[in-house]
Amino acid sequence: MRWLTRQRALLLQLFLALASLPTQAAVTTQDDLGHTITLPTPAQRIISLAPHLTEDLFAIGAGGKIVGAVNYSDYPAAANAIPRVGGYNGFDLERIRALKPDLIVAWKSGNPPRQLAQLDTLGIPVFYDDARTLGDVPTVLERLGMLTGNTVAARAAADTFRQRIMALAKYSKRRPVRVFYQVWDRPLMTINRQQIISDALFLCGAVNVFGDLPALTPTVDDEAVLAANPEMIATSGDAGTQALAHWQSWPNLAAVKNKQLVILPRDVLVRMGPRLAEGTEALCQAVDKARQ
Amino acid sequence: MTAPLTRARLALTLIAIAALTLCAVVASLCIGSTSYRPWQLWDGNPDAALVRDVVFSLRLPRTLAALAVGGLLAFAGTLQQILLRNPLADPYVLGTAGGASVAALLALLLGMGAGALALPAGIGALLTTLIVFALAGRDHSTRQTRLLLTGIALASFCGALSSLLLSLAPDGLLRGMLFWLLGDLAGAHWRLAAISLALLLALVWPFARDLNLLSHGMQSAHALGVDPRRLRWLLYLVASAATAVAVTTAGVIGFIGLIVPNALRIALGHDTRLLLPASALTGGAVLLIADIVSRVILAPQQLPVGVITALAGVPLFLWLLQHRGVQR
Amino acid sequence: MNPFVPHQLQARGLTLRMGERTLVEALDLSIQPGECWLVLGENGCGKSTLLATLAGWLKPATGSVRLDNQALGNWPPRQRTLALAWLAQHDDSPFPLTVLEKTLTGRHPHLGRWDWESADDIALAKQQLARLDLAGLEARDLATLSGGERRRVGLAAVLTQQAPLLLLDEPLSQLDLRHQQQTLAVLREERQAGRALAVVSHDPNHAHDFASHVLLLFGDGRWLAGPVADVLTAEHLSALYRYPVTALQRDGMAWFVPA
Repeated sequence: MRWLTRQRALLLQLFLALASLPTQAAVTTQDDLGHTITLPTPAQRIISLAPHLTEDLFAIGAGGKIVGAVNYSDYPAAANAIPRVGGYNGFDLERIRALKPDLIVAWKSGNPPRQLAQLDTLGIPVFYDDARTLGDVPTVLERLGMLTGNTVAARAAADTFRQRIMALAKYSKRRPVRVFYQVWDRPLMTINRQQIISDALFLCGAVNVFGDLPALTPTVDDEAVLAANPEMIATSGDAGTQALAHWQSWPNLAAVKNKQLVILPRDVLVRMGPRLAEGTEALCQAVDKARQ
Repeated sequence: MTAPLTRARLALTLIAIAALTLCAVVASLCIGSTSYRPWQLWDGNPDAALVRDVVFSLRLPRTLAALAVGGLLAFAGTLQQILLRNPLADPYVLGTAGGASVAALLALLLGMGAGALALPAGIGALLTTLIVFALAGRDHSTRQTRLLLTGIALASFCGALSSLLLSLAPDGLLRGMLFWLLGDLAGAHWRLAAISLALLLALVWPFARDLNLLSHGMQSAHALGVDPRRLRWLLYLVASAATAVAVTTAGVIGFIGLIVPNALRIALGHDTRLLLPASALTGGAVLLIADIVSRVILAPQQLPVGVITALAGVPLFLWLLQHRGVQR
Repeated sequence: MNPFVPHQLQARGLTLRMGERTLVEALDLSIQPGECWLVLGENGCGKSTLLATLAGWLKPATGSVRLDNQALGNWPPRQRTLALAWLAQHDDSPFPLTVLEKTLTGRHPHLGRWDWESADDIALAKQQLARLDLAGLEARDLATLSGGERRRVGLAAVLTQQAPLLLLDEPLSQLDLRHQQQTLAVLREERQAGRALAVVSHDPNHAHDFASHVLLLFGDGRWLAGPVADVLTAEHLSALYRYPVTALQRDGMAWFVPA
């Protein structure tokens, strides 16, 4: 009995030790470039090189571990207080080094390749985010959870994201709506099929009228839009922006005739972070309204 | 040109250029990123309303804007070359375009919409014009070195300011800002540009023979009764105004203002009486053709028209330079 | 040759400065119809500055230039250029220009704002070119000509202007011997037609059979002006060039050579 108790106590200790291992000992995961990143202990001092990565870290409860972030890291409000290390398209390597980070989260398609190459030489572990679809976003959350030790919160955030997206699947079966998504008004820019917003459009049962163009964010002309005759024209921006105003001069355009010029909330659809779910919901609702 | 310019040769040359320009206009109305054609208006086409919109509300204004902006640029380039007595001068050499770009970028950064930039761009162009002339307007030297260097210095300064604003700008604004650096005719308003071109040309052309003399030399111009100082003011203000309107309308489109006047000099001679109207017409036609190419070649995707003017214009110009250069 | 009204050009108390240097001080000069003034002096003594001032291009430090007793600056430019022609020393166009085009520029003062060069104008220009041995070069680009040929084209343009007063800055420089003599003969004809000339030169011997008066500029403010016989002496020239000059007599004329 005594022996047994002792043995039990030992087992219990061993079990406890094993259970606490992920937070105490080395953590490892793969980033979007397929690199294996191993940290001796979960990251405590993180630098975020994109606004959406800052949002990712806050969403998994690791916001307090960010010691440096790039400009426009403005969500949630607490992110505004993080020291800045420059812009996503050009940052201060010296300051980054001086902040003694134990993890840098970088944005493969947004950060300048030359600076990313320099980051590698600094010897600080770099996690590259290269999310291209809605499905990629929660996996980034989960893997960031591994690296920061916030696995539970990360899984929860990822699951919430997936559920919100899944809930939108019903829209994809409804009547397709022809949509022109306007990135910028002058020059008139849109997106092709590979862009993540097109993924959201597809989910919402919308057809990107310029999905087939080869460039990721092609410039088109008004004539092509008139000919495509979209049922809805959408853009992202602050309420009251005049970015869609010039379409009013084409009353024959289906989108204008049906009053479907839609301004979606700023940032939520454009940033590849957790709020993309919110942005996609807003898009789907707008598309569904245009459908009727 | 062996024989001196006569009225008849002037008229014939201009008619020939106008005919070519007209061909380009017809092409521009018929060709676009979509396959609609003007004649579909009449044959009971169900899309008649759409065709009317495409041809008359989109292609026609854009065509007129291209003609006016290209004309302004080539015209301003011709004037700057005479003013600075330097065939390498272009409309942007004295910083006018730089000032317009900086002001437009600043306005964009401060949250103004891309459609409302004409006013700040115009003010920026005017400001740099005044600064350059305040600093170097008293340069009456034959080579105009101080004016040229002041303009180049200010243009570089504006270039640096533009880069600064670009590096400060958020991602979304960058696209709109790049428009000012590459030039774009989509949505350009043609009226101001066309009226400006007509007025400025009418203002300067009566002085064309005086400009001939000025381009030969300041002292000989004075000896022949031209007041070089007053004429230079006229040249400077007209060239700056033309550039400012062009940039305000369509952003900074390169090469037209340098290549068209120089190509015409090689092809038609150096008489300003012909060169001014010919460059106004040819500049418009060249920009129009470049614009047709830029909107058709990858349709419906658009290319920056400045890229086409450079890609097609520079080799053509170099060929002309090689081909005609040896005869002299 | 067109009939023309004679004009007289006067300098009154003319002082010319270049930076701190006084080139000419209180020059009084009157150039009358039919006179030919030869302007002599060292390099940089102010010959070209004087001609540019007489032409109204430069403003004198003090004093005035008067055309027919009226300040030159008060003349409307076109009236002034009908009376007064000026061949500047340097005159290079950055743009190509044909010989005939350059010569025709002399007709500018005679043409109204909307006028074009007429066949008569072209004939006159060709005539002046022929006088200076430039016939057949009408279509050539100035840049392809030799320095001496360019100089003669410039002179042809000035002659095409048909002004009664001619201010010529070194019209003979860069010309070979035969063309110097040919050009001198042309200028002599112009003088005989009643025109007044002021000609800058580096050769005192150009005065022969040509100049009526000589103006010596010493470059330090001093000057000496007067009829050839009074001014053009070996003594004066030695002082002017700060180099001994001696006169050789031949056929009753004095030829000045370095001693």
